[in-house]
Amino acid sequence: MSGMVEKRGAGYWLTHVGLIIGVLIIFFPIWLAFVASTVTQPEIVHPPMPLWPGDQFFNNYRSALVSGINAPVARMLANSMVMALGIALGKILISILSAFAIVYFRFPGRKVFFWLIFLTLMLPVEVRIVPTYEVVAGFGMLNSYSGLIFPLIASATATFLFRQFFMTVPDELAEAARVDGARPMRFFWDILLPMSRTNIAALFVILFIYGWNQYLWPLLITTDPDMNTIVMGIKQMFPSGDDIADWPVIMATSILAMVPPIIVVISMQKLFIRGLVDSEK
Amino acid sequence: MATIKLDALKKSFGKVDVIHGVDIDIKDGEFIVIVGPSGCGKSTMLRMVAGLETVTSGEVQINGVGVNDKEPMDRNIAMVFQNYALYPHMSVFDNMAYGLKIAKTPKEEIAERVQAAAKLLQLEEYLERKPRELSGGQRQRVAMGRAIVRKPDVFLFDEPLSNLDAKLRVQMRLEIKQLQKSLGVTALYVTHDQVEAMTLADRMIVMNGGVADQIGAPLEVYKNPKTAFVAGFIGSPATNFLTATDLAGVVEVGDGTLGIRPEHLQLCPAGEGSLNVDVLYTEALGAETLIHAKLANGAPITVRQDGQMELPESGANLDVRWQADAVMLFDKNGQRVANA
Amino acid sequence: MEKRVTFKGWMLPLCLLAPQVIITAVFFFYPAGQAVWQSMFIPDPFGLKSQFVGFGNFEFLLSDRYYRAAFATTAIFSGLVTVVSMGLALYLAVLADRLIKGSGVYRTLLIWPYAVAPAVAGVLWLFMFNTRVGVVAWYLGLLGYDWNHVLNEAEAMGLVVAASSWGRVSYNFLFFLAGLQAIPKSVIEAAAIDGARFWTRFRTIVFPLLSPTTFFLLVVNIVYAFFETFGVIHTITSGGPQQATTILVYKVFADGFVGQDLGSSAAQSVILLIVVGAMTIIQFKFVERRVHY
Repeated sequence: MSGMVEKRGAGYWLTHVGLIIGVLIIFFPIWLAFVASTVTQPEIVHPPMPLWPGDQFFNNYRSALVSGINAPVARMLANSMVMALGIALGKILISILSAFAIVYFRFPGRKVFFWLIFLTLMLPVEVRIVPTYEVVAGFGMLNSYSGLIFPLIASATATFLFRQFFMTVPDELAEAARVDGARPMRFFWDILLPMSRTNIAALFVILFIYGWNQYLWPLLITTDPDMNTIVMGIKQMFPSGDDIADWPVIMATSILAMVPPIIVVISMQKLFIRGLVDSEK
Repeated sequence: MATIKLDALKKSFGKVDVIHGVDIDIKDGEFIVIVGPSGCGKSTMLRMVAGLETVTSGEVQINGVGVNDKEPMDRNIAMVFQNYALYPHMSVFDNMAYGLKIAKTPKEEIAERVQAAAKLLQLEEYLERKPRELSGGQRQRVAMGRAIVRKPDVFLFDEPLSNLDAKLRVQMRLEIKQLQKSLGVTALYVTHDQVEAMTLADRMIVMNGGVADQIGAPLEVYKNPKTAFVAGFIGSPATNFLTATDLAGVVEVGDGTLGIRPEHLQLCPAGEGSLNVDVLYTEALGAETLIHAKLANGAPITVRQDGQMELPESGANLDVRWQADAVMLFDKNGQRVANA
Repeated sequence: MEKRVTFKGWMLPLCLLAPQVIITAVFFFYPAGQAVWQSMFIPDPFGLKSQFVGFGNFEFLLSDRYYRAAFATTAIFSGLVTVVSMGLALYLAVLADRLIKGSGVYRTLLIWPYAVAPAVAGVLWLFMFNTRVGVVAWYLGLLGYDWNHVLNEAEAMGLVVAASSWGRVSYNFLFFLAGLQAIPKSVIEAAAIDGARFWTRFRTIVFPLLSPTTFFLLVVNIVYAFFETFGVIHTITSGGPQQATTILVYKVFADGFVGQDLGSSAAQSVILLIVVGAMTIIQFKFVERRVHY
């Protein structure tokens, strides 16, 4: 805290003022969306729209959740939830198992598997969309949850993270467990898994948001509105051509699309920041 | 209760030989300390007995049965690790009970045995705590407790005291010794600290570069080291080694060395002793005094005398002398040779 | 880095690896290989046959005016997003770091946009600047500025940069704040005792000590701008006007799915693959170096 060096005075208050201005700028788009989701369509299409919430909150949100435009937003929320949870839990599961195998065993081909898995680091789905689309279509997985989930868990970021964590677990713990008579899977369940709790939780937050916020992939493979996720579904709510968009409902949907990930981030803030800073460094 | 036999035990990592063949018969209830500098292979040897390292050649026998291919859990051993290796997410009770749970011991018996061990180690109040809520000494006791509850044939200790401060180390050393004697369990104990080795061991194995230089009772090793390495490693301050040039005209050592312990040297006025020295500085420790001096050719030499005796001044020119039977002669390979 | 202890056996580890290996093979290596393979073919108009053209697609792409324009657009876009989001984040982080108490409150408020999907961020910014209903566009009109990102290329670029940077400020802020708080206070106090004023201290002490964080964020933000901003572009401009906001990832999508030119799209994927590969290597070198700090 370089504040220790500063005098408390004008500079101190200027710091707060600067931060408050920053927070206001950052918050303004969200605030505006919230206001738009609580007013009527005429109030928006005759600019300027009000900057303070109106009384249509329940109407707009009910309308969005129950009927939506192409599909009920409640349905899209459920789809997003399945996809985000599937990606977060699926990736954690396959990653922790393979990291355990790579770190705690010596077997033929270990190095090859290691490098094959690690080649996938940082290569986003955007880069290989066309062939991946063909694979998923070939499996008949278009408009399905498995089609939404599997291609997005095919990367090694989480494996890498677990591997790094396992490397910091003292060797003696595994030795003590062996002396205590624990076989490999017993050691995994009783010792390694409980010790990884915070890492798992932090990773869950990051992966949940990653999954929830996916856009291009669901856009490609969910042609059925009932399979749309909320993040990609918003864009589908805009009319083609010159028709006027139903802004209150669209904005209510936008707010609904933000709420779950924001709740996750804020409620697990400490874990998430630790996980983020650790995982990316 | 067990006997252990190491038979021509060898270990290599790839092409590097780290243990060159060690033989020893360990009697039931004996406390054996393996001592040596870091990298001498002492921990590797212990881990081979534990079953945590494979044996390259030779054999480990427990109770006359070869155990080379047995898993650690099937050897009926217990091990105390240098960093204790307590499971951080488990309570003290669960840490001690873990091995018994895996062995499917009945719940009541687990509770009974953990309670008994906790009582023995004065850990009863801490059973519900997590390892991070304990002091270093308490963690050490938990690690001991985890070993005790399993009622093993053999205790294996891998530098268990090196993470404790000096005072606690002395206290725990005593406790370990008493515990081992009262339980009567055969123990193998690895340390780099020769004081621990001297105080704990019934017999010690002095390791040097993968070779057991000497195996014997502490005082026997101290009094009669078989190699220059052992003479230098056991005893503090270390033995003085003098070469032919240092000893010109005093003793004939050829291309070997003469070892003489600091406590076997006495200072005397110049001209009355065997070697002339210049006193560099003195360290008065109270009960004893260490005098660091140099020979005419600059070689260092240390003399230890009783704390009651008069301190020589720095820069004083004096002689040192010794009893002929205190001298240890070594050949050019460091092997002990009979005094001429 | 290897573990000293290991468990024996090879069946169990192979079973443990199997789920990841199978999923990665089917949904990663096979498609990636396909991308490389397809990049060397031109399909006929009916999609029945393909003609092998070797590096023809690449040669065509690299000489293609539109593709080169997309490269330039991506460079400008990534550069702007990186500078804007990192600049704003650093400014806020330095302010928050000056506070002895209360930086946690600001942190909680400032991490909100991290949770907002790029596509949703695009909708929010589109709404503010919409030419018909956008409240910011309306007030700009009041000031005599006629905002129209649908027609004006620079304004379109400005809007996608703003929306993309907005979502990124949180992330950069968290790392900068962590980086600043990791600088030993004694170093800064020593500089203060030496008489350095705030700005001098920042320029000569704080910023150099922050350089590992800055460099890391630079790479990560460029990668973000390259790949994860698809949602912003698609919701706000759809690459327009006149392809002024068509970045490389958008063009892969547009050519492959809209234009159905699979060979070209695959070749573009391969080029992106090489770009990402290079950045990964840079980042890994950096991570390695960081270990020795």
